Amino acid sequence: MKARRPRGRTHASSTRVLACSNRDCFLTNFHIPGTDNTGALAAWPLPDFQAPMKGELLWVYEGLTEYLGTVLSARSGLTTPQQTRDYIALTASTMAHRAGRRWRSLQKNNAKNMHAARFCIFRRQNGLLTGGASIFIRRAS
Amino acid sequence: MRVYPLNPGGKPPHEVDVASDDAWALDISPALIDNYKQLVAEADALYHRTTIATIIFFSR
Repeated sequence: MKARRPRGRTHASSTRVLACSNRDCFLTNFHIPGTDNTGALAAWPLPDFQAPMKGELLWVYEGLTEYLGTVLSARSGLTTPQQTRDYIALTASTMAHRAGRRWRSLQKNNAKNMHAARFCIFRRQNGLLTGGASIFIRRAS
Repeated sequence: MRVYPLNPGGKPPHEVDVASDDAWALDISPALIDNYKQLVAEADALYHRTTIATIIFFSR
């Protein structure tokens, strides 16, 4: 089962509700409430489902979420330090050989992804997630 | 369904809820529960917030 990612005003909730049977999914969603504190998603919550998504900074949000999910999993002992290093190395190596990012920026990618996100968020965002995460991995290393 | 409190009696509450059709799948090892307790502590430390309740829901 894939967890349904809370969107819009759900992010302002004072309760972290995590639903999944997959550890990676769980950790990704665990980060969501804290992201609001940064203000990075200030433009993302929408008044209703008719309003168009504003996803200019979504790559920041998703990338940071993915990266901190990895960090939290290691710090909590859910993954070993070696597993964490291997995962980060795999992500960085994968993105180093992904040619699509040479001609299409993450920000341009966001616009189309955001329109599609309402209908198939995980399917379309996969590249966005790893792309954003790889940037934070590089900055942290 | 089975609920594993991560901070019994504490506020805000943190817990793991496990749902399954099979009774055997409701069991979570004490070591894994300890990991989740640490996860909540690490997340609160990371964001400097201790006011967010946590419900971890597993469907097995």
